[in-house]
Amino acid sequence: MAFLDLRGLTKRFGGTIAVDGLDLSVDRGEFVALLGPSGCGKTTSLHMVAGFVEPDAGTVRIDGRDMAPVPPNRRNIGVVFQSYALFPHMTVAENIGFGMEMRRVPAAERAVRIGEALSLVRLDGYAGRYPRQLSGGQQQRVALARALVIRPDLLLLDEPLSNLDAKLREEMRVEIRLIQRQVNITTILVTHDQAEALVMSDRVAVMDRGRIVQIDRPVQAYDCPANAFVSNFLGRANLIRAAVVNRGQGRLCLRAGTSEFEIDGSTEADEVTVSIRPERIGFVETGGIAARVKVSLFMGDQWLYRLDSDLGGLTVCAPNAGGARIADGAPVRLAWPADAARVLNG
Amino acid sequence: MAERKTTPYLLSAPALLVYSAFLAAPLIAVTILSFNTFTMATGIQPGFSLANYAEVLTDDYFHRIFLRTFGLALLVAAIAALIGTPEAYILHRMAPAWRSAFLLVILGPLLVSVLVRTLGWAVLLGRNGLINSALIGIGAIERPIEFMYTMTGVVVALVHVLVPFHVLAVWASLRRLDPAVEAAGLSLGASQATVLRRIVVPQIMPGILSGSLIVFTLAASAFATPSIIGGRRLKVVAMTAYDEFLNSQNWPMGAAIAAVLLAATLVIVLGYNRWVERRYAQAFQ
Amino acid sequence: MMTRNGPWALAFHALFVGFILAPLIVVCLVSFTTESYLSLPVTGVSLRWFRAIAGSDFIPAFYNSLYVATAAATIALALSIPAALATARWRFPGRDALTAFFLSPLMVPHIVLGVALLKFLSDIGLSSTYFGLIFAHVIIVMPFTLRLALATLTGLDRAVEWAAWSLGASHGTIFRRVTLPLILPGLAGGWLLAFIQSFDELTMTVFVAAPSTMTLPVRMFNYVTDNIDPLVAAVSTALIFVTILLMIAMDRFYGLDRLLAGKGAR
Repeated sequence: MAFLDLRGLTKRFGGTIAVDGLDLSVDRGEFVALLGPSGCGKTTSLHMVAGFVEPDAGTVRIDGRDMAPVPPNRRNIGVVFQSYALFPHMTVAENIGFGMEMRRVPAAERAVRIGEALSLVRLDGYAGRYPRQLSGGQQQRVALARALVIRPDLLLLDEPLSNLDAKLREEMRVEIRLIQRQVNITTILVTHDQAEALVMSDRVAVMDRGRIVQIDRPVQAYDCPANAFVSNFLGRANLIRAAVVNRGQGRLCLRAGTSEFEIDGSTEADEVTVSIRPERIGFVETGGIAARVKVSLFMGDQWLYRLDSDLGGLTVCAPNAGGARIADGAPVRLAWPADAARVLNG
Repeated sequence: MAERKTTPYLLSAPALLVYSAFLAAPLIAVTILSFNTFTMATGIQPGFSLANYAEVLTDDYFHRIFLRTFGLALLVAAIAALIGTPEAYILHRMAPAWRSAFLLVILGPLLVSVLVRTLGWAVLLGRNGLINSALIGIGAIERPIEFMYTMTGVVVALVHVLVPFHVLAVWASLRRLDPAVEAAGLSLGASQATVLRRIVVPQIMPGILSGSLIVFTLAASAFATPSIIGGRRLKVVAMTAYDEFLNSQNWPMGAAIAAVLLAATLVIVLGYNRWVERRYAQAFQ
Repeated sequence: MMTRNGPWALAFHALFVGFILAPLIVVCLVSFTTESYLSLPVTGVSLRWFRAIAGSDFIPAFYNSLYVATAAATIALALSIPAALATARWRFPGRDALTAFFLSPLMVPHIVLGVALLKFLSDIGLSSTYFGLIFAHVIIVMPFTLRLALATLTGLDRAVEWAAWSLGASHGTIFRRVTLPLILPGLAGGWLLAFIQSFDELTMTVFVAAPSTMTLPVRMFNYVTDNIDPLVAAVSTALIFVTILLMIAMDRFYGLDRLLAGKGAR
């Protein structure tokens, strides 16, 4: 049985349903991201796991034990909040020591473990500082140390990086992932940042309107989105509506406008929506599909082209390999491998 | 936090108990008292009679007092708005260091006893006070002007006592003003005066209106300042209730006067709030 | 992008500040007179009227005010903390009505409260007692302590309390170790504001105080209705200086404009 097991978790606030029958199983030591836009119920789900919010229906089990009668202070869960929620009137050491104090850990052992926690998050020498004397990244790491030092069964991260600037955010993604591996703790990350979810987690659960719409390894979720919502939310996607001309042997022949193309896949429907990632589309000399460049955007490491075609508006990413950009208005031809396109459900 | 439903009631119970005993019960008791009757010979007679209210609402003597009180309050509120609003805006445009210093100077007197501030005006306005000495000194007048025991004196002193409330209310709404909107107005080609009239004033209007209401209601029930500066000849409602209770011993009449004052105040406050809310409901949620 | 005030604005500002300060400065000036009557300009400087305060009956009145204001502010704060917790933290039927009731003394003219309490306290046999006087003041100052407690509680990040909760703290421990220390500056500001309000209150107290429990404002009021002399000016000057000290303390705790924002609103 899974280490953390959520079954039919449901929460209403007034008339609106925040979390709608959420099921999720997480293995011991696994890192799962709950990814979704704001208001999709991911934070409420996390709060129900922590016990801050009581579910209207459903169960939370940790290591097989029903958590319903267990208050948050007896669940042994470490939480890192979006605002960090450090105690502003306590020093770094007092913040980190608070959980152990509550557990009646002897002072001597407490001091040793505070020291270990500080070096784990590379903040040796900051024990006597107050939170307001630390930078955002340092506060974030104190919050992580405070959550980890109690040796929790489960670590919950609620948008932990959203208050950091872009560069620091990228560093902390890696750092948190490494620390999580090092202490091997089961972790749930709540985030609206798809890159964060893809980089950090073992599995990504994409949430929409209170439900998990897809849960998969990051590569799988990105390459094989279950529906239009996932394909749009995880990275950029070209969604093309096309008619099925011919089918058989795991291949489909599709037509959109006057253009025909083949993809891998199968369907019963006569009309399908397919998703193609912009970086999988390439420019070719002959064949392929005719298009015209509407505008080209320079992104540094790549060019982003917006094009008009028979298939509708398309977006294409091409790595910046030093060549000249294609001029606006130029006619081009596009092609992609047959396995680049995905037929979406629904 | 997930807890039992009774917890908030238990938490507010002590305060509720004190309020019931020392606010609700006294107000009920005084309302009942206002329906009793009183004569010099018999003292307070229990019973239900509307005689006190009939007298307050029909007698010319009381009409004059109520008219004087609410007229005074209206005048004080208008003057306070007229001088307090620009002052708040000037404060708003000051450099932060100056601003906090002057805020302290202007709002600080709210914490100084009304009695002390009124006393200052009594000294200033007296026959031999500073204002008369100065006016005679520069040859503007030959004989001292009588400010004490005049409406002018009461108005000046009350404006002084209450204008910080108006500044405070306008200041609070100016603080919510996004400084970029003034810059946006200027960048779109509006003059400073147009920005003020079309952009700033409409946004701080709720502050101006609520400040005026505060000043009006406090002026309408003012006691110390009118008693000291205005004296017996310029009685206001609060002084009349005081005299009925502590001089004439006619408690039922004093209670009826207080009840009418309370009712008038509540009607004005609630009616005004409703009007302001209706007018500004869309723009200021 | 601070635009400067023009010369007219600054002239207006100077007049306004002069208007605000004039009566306070004048009271201070005349209290140092050597004469036995109020006179301007002051001909000589002496402290004789300040020395005269010591033997006067303003001193017992001052102590009465001190006791009453300290007790009223403390009781009001003690009642406000749980009430503010209830209304800030729970959604329950009657919540809005309860808040409105707790703030309602701001809407009732003090003269009305005075006559009501005079009648009520004499009915229940508590007239001319400190007990009745103190609780009358609790009613007047509690809206201020409650507002400040509410403002600081709603300004507090709930996640901080949740963090303590998840770290193993019980409700009692969370309140004692986390919530209370964080709302303390606001509570202290509220207590000081309540203290000053109670200390200065005249209109209601005139009805409720007996000769034995007479507070300083009532004593001063009764005095100035007879005559205005340098003695009462000296008492006023002393009060102004004490208020300035308290004001600076309050500004440190909480910011005077934020603190007073609760004073006027009705």
